[in-house]
Amino acid sequence: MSNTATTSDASAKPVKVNKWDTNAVKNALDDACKKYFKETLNFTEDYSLMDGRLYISLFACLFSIYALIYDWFYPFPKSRSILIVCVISYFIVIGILTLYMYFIEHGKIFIGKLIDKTGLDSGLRCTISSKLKKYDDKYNLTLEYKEGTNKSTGSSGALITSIGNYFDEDGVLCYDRFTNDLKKISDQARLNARKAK
Amino acid sequence: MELFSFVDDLKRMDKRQAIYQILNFGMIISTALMIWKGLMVVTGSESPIVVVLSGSMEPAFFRGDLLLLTNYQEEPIRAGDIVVFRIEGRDIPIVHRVIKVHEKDDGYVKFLTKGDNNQVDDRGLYSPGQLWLEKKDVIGRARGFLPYIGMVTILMNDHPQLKYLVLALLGFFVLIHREN
Repeated sequence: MSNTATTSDASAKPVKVNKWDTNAVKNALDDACKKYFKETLNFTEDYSLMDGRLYISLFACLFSIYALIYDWFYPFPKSRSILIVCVISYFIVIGILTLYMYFIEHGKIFIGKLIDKTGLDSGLRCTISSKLKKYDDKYNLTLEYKEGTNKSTGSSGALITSIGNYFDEDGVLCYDRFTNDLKKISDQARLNARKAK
Repeated sequence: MELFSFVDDLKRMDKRQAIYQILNFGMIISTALMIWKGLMVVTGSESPIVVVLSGSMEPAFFRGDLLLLTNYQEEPIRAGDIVVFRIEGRDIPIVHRVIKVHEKDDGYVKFLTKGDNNQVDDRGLYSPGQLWLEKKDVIGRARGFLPYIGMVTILMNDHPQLKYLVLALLGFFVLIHREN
């Protein structure tokens, strides 16, 4: 089966993963989904969730770097109080990071905005989250559409399929099959959003 | 080749994902570092975990055993305690037992040590002219031990290439592996 992707970007080579590694499979599917939404449906990605995670991680690392440098210049007994403060703060920030990733991120892989160039529609926001349990083959993809400023209207679509539908025996991702299913649920969800409006 | 499939994984990583991989690596190192510093603060010792390097304390401790130390200043040093001390001007800490203690009213303490498996006391090891050890030389007192585990440290110190290889491999896998 030839995967003649007509996209001219650098990743035109078909994606191949170790099909038994659920982590790699989930990452491949998530990446393909993001690619489809960004390139074909022309959503612009909203990075604020990922940026939040990066800033919290950076903040944690800063505490540890500060402790390291301070202890280097003022060896142990003198640096005791600073070390206590840094160690406790570090673990608190790591705790915050874990809570952030579990509650706020919660499986979201993509947040995008569709800015209508004609200016008629106020932007359509889309939130995608995915789940693939460790040794399971059922990939759960959930789309949520919200139309512009009116927060109460919105619709969602979900896709629960076996990953066996999208990967061939060598672990190559069949991008076209995946995007067909994506197209179906995204069109369905956008239709529902329009109807509800 | 299956082994190099991660190279494709890498190419698919965008800028933010790559930054997160580096930060993730930093956080793993920081966690180890913070646990070590935390132990330093809790035990009061500048090196809370040491490896026994010689056989001078057999049959209590063998070469390659891991010792957990505490250095609480309030607890007095008594004959029979196993202390880890450093001689001025030398890097390597020594694990021996205290055999004689002299204490003055104002709290000044000096003591003599000897390895259980040695024939003579440690005066031969001290600096020229030094006959006694003082509290400031002590890194800590042995409070707990784990047998054999320290052999890994000894191996890696004897063969530095092994140490760099292991660290490089670990670092490499952490940077490459995408878990999300």
